[in-house]
Amino acid sequence: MTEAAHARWPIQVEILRYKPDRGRFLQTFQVLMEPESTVLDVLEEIQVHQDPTLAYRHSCHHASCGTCGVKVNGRERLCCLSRMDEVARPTTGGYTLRLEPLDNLEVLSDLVVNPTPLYTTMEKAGAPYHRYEEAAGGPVEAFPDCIECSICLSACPVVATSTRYPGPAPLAGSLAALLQAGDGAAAAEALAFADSEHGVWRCHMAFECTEACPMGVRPAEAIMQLRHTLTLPRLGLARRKIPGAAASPTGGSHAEGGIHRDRS
Amino acid sequence: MSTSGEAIIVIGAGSTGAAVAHDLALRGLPVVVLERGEPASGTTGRNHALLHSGGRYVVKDLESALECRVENELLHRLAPEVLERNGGLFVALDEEDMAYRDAFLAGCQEAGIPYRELSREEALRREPGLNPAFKTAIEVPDGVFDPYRLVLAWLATAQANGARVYPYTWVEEVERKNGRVVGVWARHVHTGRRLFWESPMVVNAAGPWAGRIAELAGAHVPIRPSPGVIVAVDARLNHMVVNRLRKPGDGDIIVPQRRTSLIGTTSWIADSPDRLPVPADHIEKMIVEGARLLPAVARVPVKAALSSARPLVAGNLEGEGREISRTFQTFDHEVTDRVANFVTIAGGKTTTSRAMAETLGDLVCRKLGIDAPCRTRETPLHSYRRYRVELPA
Repeated sequence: MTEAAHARWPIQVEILRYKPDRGRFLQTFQVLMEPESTVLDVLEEIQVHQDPTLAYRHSCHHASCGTCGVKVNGRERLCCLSRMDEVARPTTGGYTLRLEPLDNLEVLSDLVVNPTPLYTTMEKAGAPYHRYEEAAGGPVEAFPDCIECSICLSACPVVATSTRYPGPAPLAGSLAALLQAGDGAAAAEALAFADSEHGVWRCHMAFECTEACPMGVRPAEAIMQLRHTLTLPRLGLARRKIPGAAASPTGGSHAEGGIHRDRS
Repeated sequence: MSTSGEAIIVIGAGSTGAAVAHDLALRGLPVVVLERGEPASGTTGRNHALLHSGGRYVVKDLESALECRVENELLHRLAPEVLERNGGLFVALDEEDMAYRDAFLAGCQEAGIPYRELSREEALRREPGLNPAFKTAIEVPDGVFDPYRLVLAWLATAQANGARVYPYTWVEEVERKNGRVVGVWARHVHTGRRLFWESPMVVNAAGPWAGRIAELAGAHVPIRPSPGVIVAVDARLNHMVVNRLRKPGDGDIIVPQRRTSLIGTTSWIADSPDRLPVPADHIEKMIVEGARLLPAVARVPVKAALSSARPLVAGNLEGEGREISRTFQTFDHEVTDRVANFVTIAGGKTTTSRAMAETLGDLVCRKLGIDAPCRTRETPLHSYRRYRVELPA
């Protein structure tokens, strides 16, 4: 592209669509977009000028709302941050782009997934709400940056095989809840959420969540830290006590244990 | 007039429609919200996220300033989980800005906005990225909200009080009989099904699309989409909201949100609120102007640039939109267009949407002959995590 500044690229956009009465179908659209255009721009262009029935989620357009996660060329991304000059694939005579809904979630229509089950799980995990004041570096403290976009659920190979596994964001949320709660009953609840047969122990350590997270939350590291926290008392190595930390459905006898909190 | 059990229909789930749904549901009225896409997918979602202290309006628009101050304080009590309570600074960079200082301080005083002129040391300690050449920095209780989650919190609370919220439901027709609106035809985007809701009162809260919805009802709303560009940089450069101490203009405010700083904004008048351009020269201008306040703006990558259309109620289109009052307006179309059972609420801003909804709720109750006082001032919102996607039957 010689006139890169204002040239528009011909892009063939392949979208894996879904409508309840039609099921899944693949549809291709042709658009002309600027290299700086984002996937959201592409979707709006198609919706406004070609097919008003195309459904997709969007709100803030700058990666704070967490609505626009889709799979772009097979990888989970936020549409708002995915520019054509980054994601469109050159072919002879133009570019291609493939869009699919996130995996492992209920697809309501086209690229629209149902976000509310994640909200429920986050609430169950006691995941704290975003507070900038608390967000000061490090994997755990970075948790409040979670925008609940469900991208980690889509990327996680364990979520793909089990509907009972809460997934990376809620587990990371329970660690954040634990650290915020200190030693009280809320801490015991957060630990109980993490420490079940469907909790942190099911993680395969694929680290796909950390890889895919658009906000750098690093849920896999949080899951590892939870395992560490849960294991120490069982080995008699914990330094501090947590009342109720023994309330674990896995039945490990660590009633005498406490909790080790890494404060680096 | 009786509501005979059918719900009041609210068209639009941006901050206005969501706040209206909450207001009406809390008064005990049955409510159905029809939103063409995701909640907050129009102007609200792409707004600047500034929880106004009122400071931006104290000199030119005291009415807006007062309204902002009151609503800012209320939102801190009602929805703290969707706010960043950071405070804000108004910063003078040159003598011209300094000439604005006295009028600004007098305005803050008159509007009852708490303010404090910081010492140079304190300003730099609290906002180390400030342009060190600043002349003065005045602290006000600005804040930051999460627009999407604020809207979901309103909707979740409305749902808890019986409202039904249908996203991805596109209003196609407003049905009238003998000069009265009797219901709404809408198409559900997911199923393609066309559905009819009978209704004793339809509320048009479609933001910059309100003109189009009014047309469907044979009414007129003089709304003009007035887009502005916001640039999000790939770093959080400030802790507090940083405003330029001067008459509001292009690129005079940087709002920190999560891990980004949002520089805004420009202002022009557009024909349509769809497919808004993000002109490259506007992005450039935001970076140049933003770097005057926080020099690091020029050194960090741009993360995203976006346009959204303010829904300005026209009448006076001088000054490319900026001179139009930010205060909202309600239209009783029975009076303005002889179309009964149809009202519009337009203009305003997210910070004051609770107050907008209160005014609209009062109007709706008056028109329906219902005596149900507004209770939104004292009712904390549910968590946004309790919002549920509903599908129309």
